[in-house]
Amino acid sequence: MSDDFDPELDDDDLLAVSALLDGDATDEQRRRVGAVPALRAMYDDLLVLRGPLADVPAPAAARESALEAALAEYDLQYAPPTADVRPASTVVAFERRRRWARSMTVATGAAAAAVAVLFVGALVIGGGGDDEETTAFEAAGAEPAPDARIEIASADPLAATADDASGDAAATAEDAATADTFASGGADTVIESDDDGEAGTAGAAEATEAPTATTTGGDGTIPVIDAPATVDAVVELADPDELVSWAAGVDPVLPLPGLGLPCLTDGDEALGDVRYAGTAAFVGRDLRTGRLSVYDVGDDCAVLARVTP
Amino acid sequence: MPTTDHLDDHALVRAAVAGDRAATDVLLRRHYDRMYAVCRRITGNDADAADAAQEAMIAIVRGLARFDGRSSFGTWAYRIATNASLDELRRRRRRPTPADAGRGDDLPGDHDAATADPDGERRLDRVSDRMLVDDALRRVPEEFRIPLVMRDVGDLDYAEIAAALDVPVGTVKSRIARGRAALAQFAHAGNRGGSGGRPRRIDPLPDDPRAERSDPR
Repeated sequence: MSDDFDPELDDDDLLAVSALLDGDATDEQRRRVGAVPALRAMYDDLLVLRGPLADVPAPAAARESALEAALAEYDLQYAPPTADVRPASTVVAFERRRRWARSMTVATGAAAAAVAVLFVGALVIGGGGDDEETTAFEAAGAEPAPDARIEIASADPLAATADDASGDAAATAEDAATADTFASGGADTVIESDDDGEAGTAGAAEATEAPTATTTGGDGTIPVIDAPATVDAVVELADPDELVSWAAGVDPVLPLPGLGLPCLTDGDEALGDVRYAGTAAFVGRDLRTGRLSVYDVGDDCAVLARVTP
Repeated sequence: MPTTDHLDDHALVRAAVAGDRAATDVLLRRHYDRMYAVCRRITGNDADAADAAQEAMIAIVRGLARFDGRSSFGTWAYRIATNASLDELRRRRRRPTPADAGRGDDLPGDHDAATADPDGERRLDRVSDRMLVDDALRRVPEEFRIPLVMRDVGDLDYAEIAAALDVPVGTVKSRIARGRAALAQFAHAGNRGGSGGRPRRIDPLPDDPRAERSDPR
């Protein structure tokens, strides 16, 4: 690094050096840099710094993990809907994790209900028996009634998910893949990101789309993806009025502790996934102004609509 | 089995959208390292960069069918990587714990690369340079660092950066110029073993009409 560096250069000086580096300098700027040793020194320094600035080796593990996750997403988007599609990897895409999380919620509720049935049943059995001293804990340890077993059986989150998606081969295959993944014990399961709390965000509706890619052939144009059918029931909103009406009646989505939600900033709360004017989107509300923002989750959070009720 | 390695990016995109998984793999692999570099330089640490780069890769897959080919695929991909990095920065700000504690520097990457190479004197120099730049770049205010990285790492032109950051081209030029000045200053100080001495004041930048007079790229 040159010792001629002078931190007291004005903005025109900085612009001249910068423009020269970008090959965008005027003759005047070129003369200026050539004539002032401090500018020349800065130019030389920045030329040297350019190499290491862009020289960032990507860790191989991160590269392979990212590729695996992206290709798993590709399989979801582009695999033929009739095939038994199972991504080769054990990467769990955001959407499948969300689906799994929803299923787990259902399962947890069902399991709680089953325990309650067991408990009440045991109390009834215990209360109706000869031994009046039987405690509730002892009764709870008794063999469960057949009804209770039925409740537990229906609480399988993966079975429930498969039921939800019945009739859609792609979704069923996806669920099967999810079931395989989570049933595999998890030792080699790769979660694609640690943002579990981002339920209801990027691509939620798109994840369940049955891809119907068609190509236009060899004319050099990029094929168009036909409008897909969705599996999950996502709220359809056509315009700002419907948005405002919908937002007035929903509760904010709570992220898991310590995890944020994409598209949103600190002052926003998340309202959830929708389809806005036919586009998979995510709605946030500014806590201070109440302004509603609709983000295109498939286009890197591009804003589709903003309205203040 | 036909290979797709020789195809250009646009052909790979077409093949990917038509359902060619191998083409998708080649396309993504071809651009991952640069995307990671953009993410690494914007987020400032390996872990956040890996997260951002992965999200960018997924976003690219989701958006493949919408890529219209008007820009180069690389430009499009690096812009997505930039946005993913900015999202990562926003998420990091919301995290309750200090984001940089224990993140990044202890992961495989820059530093391990040198020690794993027994006779890597030159490589050590490279790593040393990288660490110097790392440290200097970390001290450059985010407002200037992001357009600087988009230009010098992502190789985006002024107009593309302006569109991505939603600011005028002149502002982009000014921010890049100030970012470079700050980078040179902090690297200069770091190279001399100092703490930066008397730093040049890096003010928040109002839109600078002087910069607008230059020819936009």
